[in-house]
Amino acid sequence: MVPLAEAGVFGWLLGLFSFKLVSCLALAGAIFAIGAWGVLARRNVLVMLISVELMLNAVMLTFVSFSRALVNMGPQLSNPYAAEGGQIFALFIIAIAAAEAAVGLAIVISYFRNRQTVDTREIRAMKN
Amino acid sequence: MEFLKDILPEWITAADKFRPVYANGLFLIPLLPLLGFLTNAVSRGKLSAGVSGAVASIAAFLSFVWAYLCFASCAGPLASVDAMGGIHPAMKTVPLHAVYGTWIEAGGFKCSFGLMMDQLSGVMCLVTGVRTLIHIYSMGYMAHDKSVARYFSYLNLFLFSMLVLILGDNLILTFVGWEGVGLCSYLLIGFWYEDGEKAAAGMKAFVFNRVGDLGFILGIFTLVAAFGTADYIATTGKIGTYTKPVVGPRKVIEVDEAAPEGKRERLVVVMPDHPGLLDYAEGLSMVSTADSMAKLPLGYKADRGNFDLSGTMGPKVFPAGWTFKFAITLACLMLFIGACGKSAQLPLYAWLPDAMAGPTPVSALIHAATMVTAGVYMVVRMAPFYVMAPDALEVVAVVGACTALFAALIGLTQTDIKKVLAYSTVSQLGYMFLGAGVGAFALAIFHVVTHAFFKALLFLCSGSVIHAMSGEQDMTKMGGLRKYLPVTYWTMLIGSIALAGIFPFAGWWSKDAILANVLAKAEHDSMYWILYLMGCVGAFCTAFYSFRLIGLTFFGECRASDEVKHHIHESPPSMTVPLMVLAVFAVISGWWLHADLVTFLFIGKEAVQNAENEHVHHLNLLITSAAALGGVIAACLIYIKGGKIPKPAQTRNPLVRLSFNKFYLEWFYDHVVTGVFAIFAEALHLFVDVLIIDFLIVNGVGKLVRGAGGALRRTQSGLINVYATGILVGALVVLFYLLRG
Repeated sequence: MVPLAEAGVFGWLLGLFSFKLVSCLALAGAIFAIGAWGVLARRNVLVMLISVELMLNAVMLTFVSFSRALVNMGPQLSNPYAAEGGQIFALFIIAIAAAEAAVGLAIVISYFRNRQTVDTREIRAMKN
Repeated sequence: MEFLKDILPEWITAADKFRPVYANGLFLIPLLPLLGFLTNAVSRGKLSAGVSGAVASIAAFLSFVWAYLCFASCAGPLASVDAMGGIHPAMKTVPLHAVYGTWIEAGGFKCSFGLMMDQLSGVMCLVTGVRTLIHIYSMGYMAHDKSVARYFSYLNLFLFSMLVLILGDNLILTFVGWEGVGLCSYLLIGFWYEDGEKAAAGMKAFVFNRVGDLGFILGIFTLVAAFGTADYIATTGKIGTYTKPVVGPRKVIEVDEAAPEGKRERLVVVMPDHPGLLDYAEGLSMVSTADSMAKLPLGYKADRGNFDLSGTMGPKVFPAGWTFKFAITLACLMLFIGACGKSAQLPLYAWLPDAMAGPTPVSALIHAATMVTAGVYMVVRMAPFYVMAPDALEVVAVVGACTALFAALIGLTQTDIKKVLAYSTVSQLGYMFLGAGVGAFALAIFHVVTHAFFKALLFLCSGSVIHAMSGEQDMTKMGGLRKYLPVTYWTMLIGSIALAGIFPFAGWWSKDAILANVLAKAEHDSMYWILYLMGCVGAFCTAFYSFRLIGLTFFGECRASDEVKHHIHESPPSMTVPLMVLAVFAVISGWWLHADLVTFLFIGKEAVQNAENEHVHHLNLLITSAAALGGVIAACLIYIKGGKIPKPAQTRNPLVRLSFNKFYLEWFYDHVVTGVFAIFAEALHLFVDVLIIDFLIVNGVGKLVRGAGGALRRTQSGLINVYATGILVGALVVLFYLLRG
């Protein structure tokens, strides 16, 4: 980060709020870790589904971050569409996450109707 | 053999013009029986007995006619031989040769699918011409059988295989036919498969042949490894339907300019571009004979480098230090093992007498006239190699002489009419090999031809007798049939005289000539005196048992039961006409062919010239005639005049018992050989089957999977979070490995 004395207030503020890939990846990593922890540690299937959504969103954030970082890098990478891939994948993930959430919720609801529980400690039909 | 050509109109045998037609058409000879086979095989019993017999007979007849035309076109020496490409040195005439396509191509080895007719295969083709008569005879003999179509389809399939064996232009195609005739022999011996004993006889034939076939295959491998080809004669290397004959190896004197001591002449054997096995043999013998005669330095132009008989082998497949002479001797011995199996020589003879379980026409066609002579044909085909391997040739002669005597001795005491003829066949095959073994290859084929006529005749006569006796084969229950079966009696008498070797019937010409050659050889090598003696004793036994057969069957009182006696009748014309035709050939074929055939076949000509030695010839004539006449007179005195009925099963005479029980050789096979094999098989069963396959592989793998499953089952907690942790950890591990580079 450019020191305040050199950049001036306006420049410093501009630098503070400008796009930084590292920050975005750190945020995405944090969200992914939270989601993973939720999937692994929580026993409620509903919460686990939400956590999966978190993980998906973290991945999506990674994609769009790289996409933003690669804007105008086309000539250097000799690939004029270098930036577009991430955005397209983000759209894919949105669509798939929606479908996954719909299917997952439907399964959870129908399971709850049958067994009156969504606690994974009780859902152990596959044991051994 | 120009007379074969002369009796045809000239426009048919205008050979040069029609040669391509005949060569291209060679495939028709085996194809016609194949079509007959297919017709009968797919008829599913819908054809009547007469129709399926007629189809088979017509197919056989047309194939014979076509073979005859082809043969006539290559029989005589051609006027324009040079224009055709020259005469192959191993053959006197220009063979018809057509290559229809590539069959096997692997590495440097190439084997094409082609047919070839030279004088040898032509003669063999005409011998199978006896087949048409046997087909016609079968129509009468098998008329009452319930699966006639099956019978005739097998018979035609056999003819197809036999013709492929004879006409194939390479050893591998010959082997295909060889296996084909073995299969058909098995099928026809076990034709009445409901009878377990007959089915077992078929299996016995198959197993004995298999032992021989192993030798044959190894022989082929040896030759292919040594020379890189399995073809008999050179080809143009192109696949075309009609291949112009290629000139074989030639001797050329050329000036060697690169010699160290300046220019000098040397003798070079020039090989054709794509030499066959016989070319190599011819080339090798040219090199070895020229060496001693011309005293010129030798070269050998061939793509496989310079070699001579005692030179070491070029290709790396052989152990170091092997010479061509050794490889050729090995190959010849291996091929002879194959011939022993197919032609029922010691020690693989035992299947042939059992093969008499099949229908009698089959015994005549396969087990007397054609298939069993395939071994002789193969040895004669390979004659140029055998000539170069005198050790192998000696083995052939010894085995042949032993078999000739051994089988004749067994034949003396048998009471089954077909068994007598079977042992006689084994014995006569022994004479053929004896002939080949002393280098008289053409005489071996001559004996094949005459034997085909009179042995087929004898078998068909015995079939007629059995037919009349309502299936009875035991000669002690026959007798006095002379007045019931006049045609059969006279034809069988002619056949027996021919078999006994009485002048001027067919058997005398060939057997006497073979023995004359043995005698001529004995003047140089005393071992052959023993073989000659064995041959003469065998000739005496032959005459004895053939007239014993006549005496027991046709003379004396009829010993059949009244019911059988009531049914005795002469056979229908479809059976007696072939008998009469064959009888004519049994009388004249020896006299008719003896001059032409031998010179025509050319192979082993030197040996034949030996026999021209006058005093040898006369001495032999005296001895063999005395032996044959002595046998005939002894048998007539004992069995016709004396009216003796043999009871070999009850006799106490040890010699008779020995002969009747086949010298206990079959007992030895049944108990000792089979026992050793059974122990070996049991050991293999216990070690390989029970221990390795069952215990270790089949059950072992099952138990391993079961145990592993049981252990790993514990890790399945059913808790979804645990699974998710597993997935995550796995993903991290993969990620770690990928990122680590």
